[in-house]
Amino acid sequence: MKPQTETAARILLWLTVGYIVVLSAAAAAAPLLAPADPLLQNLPARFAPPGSPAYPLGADDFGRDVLSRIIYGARAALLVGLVSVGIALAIGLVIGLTAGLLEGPVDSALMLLMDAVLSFPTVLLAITVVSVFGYGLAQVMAAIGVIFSPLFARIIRAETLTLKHEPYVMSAYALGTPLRRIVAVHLLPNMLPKIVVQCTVAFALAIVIEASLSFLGLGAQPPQPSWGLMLRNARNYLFDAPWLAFYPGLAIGLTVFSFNLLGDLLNELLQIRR
Amino acid sequence: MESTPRGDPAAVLRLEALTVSFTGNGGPIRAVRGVDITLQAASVHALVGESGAGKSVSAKAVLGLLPRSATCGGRILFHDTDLLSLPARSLRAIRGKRIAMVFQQPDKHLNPTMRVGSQVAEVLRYHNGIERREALLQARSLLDMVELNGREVLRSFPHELSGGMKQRVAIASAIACRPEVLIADEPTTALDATIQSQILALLDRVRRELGTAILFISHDLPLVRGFADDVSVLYAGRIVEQATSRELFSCAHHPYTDRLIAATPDPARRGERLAAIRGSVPDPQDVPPGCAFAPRCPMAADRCRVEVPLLRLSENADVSQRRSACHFAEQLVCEGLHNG
Repeated sequence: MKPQTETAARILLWLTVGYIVVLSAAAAAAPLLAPADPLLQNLPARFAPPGSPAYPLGADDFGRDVLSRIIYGARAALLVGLVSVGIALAIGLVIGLTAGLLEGPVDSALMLLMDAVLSFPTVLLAITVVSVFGYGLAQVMAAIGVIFSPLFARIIRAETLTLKHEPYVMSAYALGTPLRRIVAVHLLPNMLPKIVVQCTVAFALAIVIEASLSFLGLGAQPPQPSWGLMLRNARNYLFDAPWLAFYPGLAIGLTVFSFNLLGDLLNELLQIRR
Repeated sequence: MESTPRGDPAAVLRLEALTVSFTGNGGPIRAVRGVDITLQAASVHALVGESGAGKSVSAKAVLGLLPRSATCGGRILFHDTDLLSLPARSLRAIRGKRIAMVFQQPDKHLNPTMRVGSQVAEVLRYHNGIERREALLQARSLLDMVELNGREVLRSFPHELSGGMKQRVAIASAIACRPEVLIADEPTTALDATIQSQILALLDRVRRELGTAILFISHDLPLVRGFADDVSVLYAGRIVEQATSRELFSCAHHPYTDRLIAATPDPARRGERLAAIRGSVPDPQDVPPGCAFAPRCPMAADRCRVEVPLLRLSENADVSQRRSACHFAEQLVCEGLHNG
């Protein structure tokens, strides 16, 4: 990358990081920041347009404050991202390391399993899982976690296969280092950049899938504040109260865009350092 | 074939009729075809040969570092324990603690994400069960011992060090547990000439101060002169000559050794063509019958192409332990071939 491009990449990186930090802070401090209770209904204020006193981003069909619901919705979105990526990473680590270290038939069997999971369209598989295990955010998180595990298992396996032939790993082995130390000290820290990049990308995808499932009525259940659910609700009033769809849509778009961009930028910046 | 006297108290490591073959596409690749080496305590035994002669493979076999496609035969005796038949767990307890290894490319043998101090301390922590803080203290004195500034280097990352410094770090972690045997696999090949001699001097100090026996692998015969006590010259997986360093350099008893010594650049003969050995090392999947060196040997006779010469004591040996694997060892007159 050229120096100017690198500077531009750094500025973009800090902008996205800034957005993500603000979003996370807002989600964490939702009770302090939100102007109103996200569940509080106020029927006289139904469909109050953005800019109305006490309703900066307008009110929905029950007179609930859209801004407050978006701030609380960020909690749901980030929680889903964190938990499902956490689950996917945990499963991926176990499977990827096992496959990469053992190789042979175990490797083939595990990777076949992972390919089988990957071969289904993500949302379709999520719908199936949620339909079997019931609706709700917890089920959605578990489903996304399992469905995303191949994304991690595959890169962790590939990295394990490469790194285990690195001379320093061979050296450590020749000095009698136990396997668990080799994994903890030599393998994981050196594959960390790739895992981090994958985490941000998976995080963005998880938010999209949560929103999609909630939109279909399979994820968050009313009256829970969730961006996907807000969109679902807004589709009945697209022409009369377009702000009901616009703001949650913007929140989803910006957040997903930021995490994707963060992934790309980290990828490039970490590669330069290699 | 002569074998080393049993129960030799000074011998720490003995390779006995070691063979290593790899499964290859066109049949087995026989990389090591019967090697006997005795490493005496606190001595340096150099294993010299061209690429593909089987020197690194033999060394890796000692610590069980060969890939799964390798099959080993013979015995590798560490004191009286056969390392080849040892369970993995027991072998791991020996690796790094009683037999350690230093490798060729110091650049690649340190973990780039880990501070140097922690890497050296690592060995102490699991072999001696020392806690982190104490291990770091010991790592610092080890770094001082290999002539680095322990206080500074302890907190550095590998990329902040030069190649020579990295090799010193590698040596520090190798000697951390005061091993009885140190296997040095071309430790100076990636370094420039001045650093090379410094590292050799350091290894020599390790041998004297810790009493560590060193199995020194090199493709550079002149390098081991004056450093090694004993030298084994390998060619195509077999030892062709084995002698003390002094004997070997005073007079070769095998045409291969002789040609190797003759191929050394000599400042006194500046401007002349170097005496290269014509031809190349045989394909390990297709080693010629008889003497493997015969196709390149200036002395080769019909017998050499049929009958494998055994490694035997030369009849005109000046000292009893010197061996050569040439049918015509007795006819090699010292200096005769050099000038011819």
